[in-house]
Amino acid sequence: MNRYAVRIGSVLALALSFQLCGPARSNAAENTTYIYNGKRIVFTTLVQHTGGPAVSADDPGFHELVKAAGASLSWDPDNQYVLITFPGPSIISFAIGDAHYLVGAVSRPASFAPFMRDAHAYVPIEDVLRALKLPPLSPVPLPESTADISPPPTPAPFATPQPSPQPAQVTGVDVQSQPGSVTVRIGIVGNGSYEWHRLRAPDNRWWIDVHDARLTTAPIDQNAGDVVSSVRVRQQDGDTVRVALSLSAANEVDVTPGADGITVVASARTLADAPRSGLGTFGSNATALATPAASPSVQYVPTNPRLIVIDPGHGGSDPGTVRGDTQEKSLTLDMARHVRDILVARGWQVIMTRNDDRDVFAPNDSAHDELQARDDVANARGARLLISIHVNSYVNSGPHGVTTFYYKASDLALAQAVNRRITSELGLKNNGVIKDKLYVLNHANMPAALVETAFISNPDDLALLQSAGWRQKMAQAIADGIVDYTENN
Amino acid sequence: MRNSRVFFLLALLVAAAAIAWYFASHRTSAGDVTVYYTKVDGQSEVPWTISVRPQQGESGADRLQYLVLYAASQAVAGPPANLSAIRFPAGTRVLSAAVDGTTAAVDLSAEINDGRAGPLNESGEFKSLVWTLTALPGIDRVAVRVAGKKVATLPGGSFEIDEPLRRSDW
Repeated sequence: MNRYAVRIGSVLALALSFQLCGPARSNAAENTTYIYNGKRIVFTTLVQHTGGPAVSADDPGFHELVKAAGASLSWDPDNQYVLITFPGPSIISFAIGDAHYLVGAVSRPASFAPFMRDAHAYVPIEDVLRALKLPPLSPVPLPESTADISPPPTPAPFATPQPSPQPAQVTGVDVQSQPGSVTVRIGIVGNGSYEWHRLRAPDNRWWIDVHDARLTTAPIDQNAGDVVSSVRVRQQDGDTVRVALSLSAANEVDVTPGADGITVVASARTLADAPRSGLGTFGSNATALATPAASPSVQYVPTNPRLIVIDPGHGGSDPGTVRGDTQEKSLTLDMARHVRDILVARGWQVIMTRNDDRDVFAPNDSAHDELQARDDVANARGARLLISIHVNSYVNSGPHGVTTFYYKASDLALAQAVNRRITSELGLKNNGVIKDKLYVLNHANMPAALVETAFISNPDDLALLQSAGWRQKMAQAIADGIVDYTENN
Repeated sequence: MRNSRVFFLLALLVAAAAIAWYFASHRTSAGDVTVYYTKVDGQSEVPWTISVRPQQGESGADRLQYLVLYAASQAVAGPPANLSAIRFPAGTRVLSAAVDGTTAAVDLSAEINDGRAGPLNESGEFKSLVWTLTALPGIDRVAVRVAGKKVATLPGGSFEIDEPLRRSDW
């Protein structure tokens, strides 16, 4: 018997008890006033159940009280749950027909099982108040049958949290040198994803990042011969294990994921236009998702290789982020115009998704239509690349500096080139090059990057953004980064 | 004397059976849910483990359904106040959460539209939700709706949510 069957049975039993006992067990709804922090809150659906007062989950006063306590109230009719959620984090959940309720992970006996009445879910309000650590609704004690039940000794609403990542485990690498090739088998226990990248000459470095993984051995440094001069294995950060190969040239590298890891074969054969990145999954689903992006056949070929599209973020009816009189849409347009002028002076063709303060698609359009319209400008013209310029914001004034985003594997080199120039030329704090599924990047056919130049929410960054000279410098750095990219890709 | 001894043994037997029944019917085994909160750098996660006691007699499907709702609600509720992490806009809650094959379908309340904290924040919010739910057995993607509707991005936002999200999206 599943939980719902149990609960349906309980609800039926409750319904039967109402039929039998009628008003003796449950009175008509009445208004009751509750004082919370000096505020009068009126419950309009309160009924007296035999186990104590009950309030509907739809009661406006109940919602008001929970909100005033810093939480939110929701009723899930499909699953028959009433949930009170508040940051902390903690959840108080009542299930229809269940005489216990959960405060975080702790189960407590309820005064009575929540029940349905006229399609409304009623919960024991005294238990709710107790769980919220608020004074009781009234001084009337609960009936002895329930008052004798002591709550569990653990008052904490949330179990003591303990870090418990469940990452894949990289157990080691096996390096085998054969004439003309080197095979590196990366042993991995578990499922997960990876991506690989290559730096061309003179670096000739190739690496694969295994995401959400832990290295269970000591870091490895191993020489492997002529094709691969060294193999290095490191816990790159808390969630990533990196296996890096130093190649002798632009060697062909074949990546094959499997159930127990990833096999990398580097051959002595070199490729004039070796693919620079790829991704895939390993483990039990390796076959279904193996390296679709690793194929060089997906490489974008611009029909207009001298055309660069600059996208000033927001515009028209969408001001973007705002601080006082400073609007993101104006800042991005100014910087984009400078980028355009610099690139045109260097002989590039440049198109802006907007040249003035307007929506690219239509005023007050959806984010989807607006962002797709910006991608359409670049896609329809077969541009070489797309750069979207934005201004960042956060809920507090702490974060500052530049952040550059990419999503597709083909975006990475462009994002890195632009980010490198901005941080070196302007001396901003570098928040890094971050993968993010941004619509404008995902739907651009060509390499694309989005630059969040600085934080409008940070006073120092805001002062920089408001400086025309600083915006000119930012534009120069973005343009320099674009040119760097085109010279190496 | 003999009768009283038999009676005593019978009473002992009944008491033992009652105790055995009590422990059998109240036995629970802890199950863990890991909620991942995204740090403010937008890249790394803080895992928190919560023990969720199974309900008596619940099936595996019922339990997964409950865990998805519970874990999604915890992810949206955010971490303790003293932990610096990306949070959903105030008031955002889970309207419903369901399991469809390997997809967890989560409907978030309209308050999520109130957040205008930049792409890193948006990405971090959904990363927390996706990391958390795909840590549950059998779930590998998360379909997001806002107030019952499928949307491409949040208003004024840029993080794409019209297709089910996977961990590999980050």
